[in-house]
Amino acid sequence: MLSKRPMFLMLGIGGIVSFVLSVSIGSSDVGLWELMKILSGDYGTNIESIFDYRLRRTILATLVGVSLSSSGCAMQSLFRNPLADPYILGVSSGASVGAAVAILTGHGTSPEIIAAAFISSLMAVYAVYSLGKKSTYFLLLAGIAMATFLSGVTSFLIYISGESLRQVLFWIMGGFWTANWTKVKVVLVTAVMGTAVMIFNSWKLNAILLGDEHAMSVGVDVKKLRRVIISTTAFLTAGAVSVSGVIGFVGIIIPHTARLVFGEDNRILIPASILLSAAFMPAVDVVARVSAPGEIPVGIITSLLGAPFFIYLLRRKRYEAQG
Amino acid sequence: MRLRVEDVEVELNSRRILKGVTLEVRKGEIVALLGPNGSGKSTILRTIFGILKPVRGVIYLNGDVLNSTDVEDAAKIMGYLPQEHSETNLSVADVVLLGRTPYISINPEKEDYRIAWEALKLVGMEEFAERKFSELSGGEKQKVMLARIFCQETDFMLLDEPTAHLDIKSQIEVLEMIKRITERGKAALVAMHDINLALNFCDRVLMVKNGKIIHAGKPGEIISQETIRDVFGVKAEILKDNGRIFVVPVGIE
Repeated sequence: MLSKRPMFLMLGIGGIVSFVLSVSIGSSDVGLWELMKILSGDYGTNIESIFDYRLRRTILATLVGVSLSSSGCAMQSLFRNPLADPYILGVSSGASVGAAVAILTGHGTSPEIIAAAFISSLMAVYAVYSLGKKSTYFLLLAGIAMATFLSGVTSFLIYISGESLRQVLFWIMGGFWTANWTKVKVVLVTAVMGTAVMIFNSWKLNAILLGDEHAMSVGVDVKKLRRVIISTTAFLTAGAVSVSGVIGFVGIIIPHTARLVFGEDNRILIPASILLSAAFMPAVDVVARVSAPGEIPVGIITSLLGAPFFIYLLRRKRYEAQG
Repeated sequence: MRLRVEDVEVELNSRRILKGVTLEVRKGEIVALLGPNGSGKSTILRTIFGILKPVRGVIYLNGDVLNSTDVEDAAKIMGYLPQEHSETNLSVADVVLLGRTPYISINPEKEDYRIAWEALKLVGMEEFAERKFSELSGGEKQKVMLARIFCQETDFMLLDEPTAHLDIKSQIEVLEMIKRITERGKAALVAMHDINLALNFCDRVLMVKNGKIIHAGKPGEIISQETIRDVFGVKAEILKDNGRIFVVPVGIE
């Protein structure tokens, strides 16, 4: 564990650099120099509001990244599958339907959309879990069925959305540009509570790596652990998705990259994933902000990065299988 | 240390898979469960550990009824080694440390590391501590698994085919380790496939067929052409040499 310390330190520094970059880069030319001025107390209100926006946006991005990656990490250990993703439980599709319904029924304010997305995503997970709790296999199938059904519902809602089309679409694509302090507070609660539960259970998640029966043989109540991890994942991802829309692949890329570097021990892997996502997510959000006039939804960027990475993983897995 | 299983019956999907199993394992003993595939050897072990619930019968440990509803408690009194395991890149030391899980609240502490290290030394694998578990050979993995069981520090072990898929030398090494441990006042119930290994390493043999124990006793007392035919459905020669017994299958009945 000692030899991992320098790497943890690097991740920590990466997180700080990413945070500072994210606060100092944006479409307006207010940058690091002005940030220094703010810190020294010499600034105008216009500059202050720009930094206030960037600050909440950066914190939001960090917390969403932390939520998705820590739950992805736990899901991958629980299912003993590096391709598991926190969204396989139907969270994202559930949230999309909730948000779309809220917007279309004229409840398009930020707290209303957050509440609708949060509740509908938890309902979707509950339905998936009830249908598939018999086994991992059933759970995955139920998740796929639910996601397909709900994405049909979402497509229908988009189709009839008329003037709200842009708002619905932008919400689903996922991004942080609508960051406000309410959103930060919501995801702060879910992220802190959820990651604490994951870290608390990291040793038990190690036990499950050898198989369900092995975990039982060392005294882990596997059914209970599965319930705890799945409900915590639902809580974490519902929090993240309800404030930022559907940001794809972060829940796979980050834990898997951390796994390649730090190994499978969840006591190290979960904190490493948290730090890595804290470095990664604000940095990607900077790319989203500056890569095009206006901006590109960050969900598009993570998907564009994530899909090739996913293919890389699949190929690697095949080579391993071939020995 | 005394385990007693009395008239236990287990059902799976409303099919009776254990029928009136009665057995006893005493301190210092290694008792083998011998029988063909699907005869119920693993089911007996899983039922004793509490993963399967009997519909009838009682299990006693040291005279107390074993209320095996909670695996957390069971893991403190019985070390159970399942037959199959998933591959993992955890280090050998971490896999052994998993044996301390019943005593760990969040993370292992110094004392847990010390006990795990002792267990690793006991199986002669301390040099492998930092290696990835997935990179070991079958025999090495099984020794690590035994170390994991040993560091649970239970008096009683339930081992499901600990010598399966191992080469001859590893089979003997693993069984000798089990023997060394049981000689320290512990006991083991071991499901096995290799009749000759079982006869030469175990104090008693329980022969299982169709969810029932149909013959039980010391190797010299119960192994005969008839009992082998009863249980396995094969014709066999029985050779005896200096008190050792060897079963040589020669054909199918």
